[in-house]
Amino acid sequence: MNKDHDNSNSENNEKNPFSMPEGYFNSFSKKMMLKIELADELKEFKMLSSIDKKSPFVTPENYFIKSMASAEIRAELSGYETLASVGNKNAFVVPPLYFERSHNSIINKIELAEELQQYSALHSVEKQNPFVIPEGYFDTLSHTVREKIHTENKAQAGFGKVIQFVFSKRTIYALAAMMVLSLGLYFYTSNNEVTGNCNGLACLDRSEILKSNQINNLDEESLMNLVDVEKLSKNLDNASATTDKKEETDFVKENADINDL
Amino acid sequence: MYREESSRNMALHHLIEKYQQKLYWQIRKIVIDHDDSDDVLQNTFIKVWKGLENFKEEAQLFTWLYRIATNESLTFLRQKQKRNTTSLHPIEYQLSKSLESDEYFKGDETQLKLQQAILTLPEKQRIVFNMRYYDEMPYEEMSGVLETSVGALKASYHHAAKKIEEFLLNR
Repeated sequence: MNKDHDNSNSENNEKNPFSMPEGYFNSFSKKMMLKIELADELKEFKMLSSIDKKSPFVTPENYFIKSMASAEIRAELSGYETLASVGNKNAFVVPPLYFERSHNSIINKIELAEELQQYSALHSVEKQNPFVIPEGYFDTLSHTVREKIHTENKAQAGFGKVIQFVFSKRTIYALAAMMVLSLGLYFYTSNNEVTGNCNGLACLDRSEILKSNQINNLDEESLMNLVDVEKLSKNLDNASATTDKKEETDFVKENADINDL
Repeated sequence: MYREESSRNMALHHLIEKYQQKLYWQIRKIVIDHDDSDDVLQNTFIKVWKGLENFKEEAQLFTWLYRIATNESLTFLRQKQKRNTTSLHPIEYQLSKSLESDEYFKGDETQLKLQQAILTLPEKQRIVFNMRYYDEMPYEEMSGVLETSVGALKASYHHAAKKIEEFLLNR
């Protein structure tokens, strides 16, 4: 029957300006039968049959066009084996966080522009740096700074050595010895007139000297070297002479009669 | 890298090469005069070199450098003010006047007026304005350098811009 209908259709083609795909009526009954079967199946499941049958899935925009383009490009490249083997991966890279920063930078620029719009006079001034620098200034700066640091380091190292020397054990002992010498010389020279109440180093009893904390590191010989023996002997002679003279006077005072004088 | 004794000199050279210009301009806009800026910049790098061991790596290096440069500039200006006992005017007034005859200032009349307007601002506002207007620094970054909240910085910038606006319109 269908075949007959198709034949009659082709017979009437010349009169009817409308046409249809070849074998349309042949497949139509099959399609209808399938639809009826599917509907009958679903009738058993009332909930399912109540849901509108639509595909919830979508593809990215222009997906099929892009796929076609990609297929075309691949087809084109297939003629150039070497080029196709290289692959078309992007060999360029951007600094880390570039896009994040660039996004922030754009936002910042927009904010800046919006801020400035509030101040018409300031906004009208061209933003430029009116300050200039001497030519080649930045070429020499690094060298200048490092030279300065080097010099400072050297000076610090020198000072450090001085400090180290000053506080070394050897220097401390030497200073202590010098102090003793100075003290000794001071006492000796400032009061070298030997009297009965002599308190100079030369007049001190040696045992007293040896008791002194300041000089207990010196041996007896060193202490003797402190004393100008010649001068001491002279002073002692003077002292003895003075004492003799005093004794003589006392004797005269005690024994002489006033009338004898 | 900066903690290695042997590579510290090399690190210093790299630091200077990388940051000299940015730090110079930060300093220059505060101390105005080129020779003074040169002194402050050198001192900044010397301080940086001495303080490298104390640099906390979790902080951003540039933020740290910027902070040192800013503090050095402000210290320099205060010392300059103290040294100059003959003038009764504040240092900013003197800087403003010196711009008129500065061989390293090439701005036209408008630019001179803008710089003079900036020099009327209080110290902090001046720094905030320069960092925002010229360096276009985001407030978050500025907050790290000046150790001030973003809100306070925004308020400072607003006050500064308002005063400059008035100066430009009325003088």
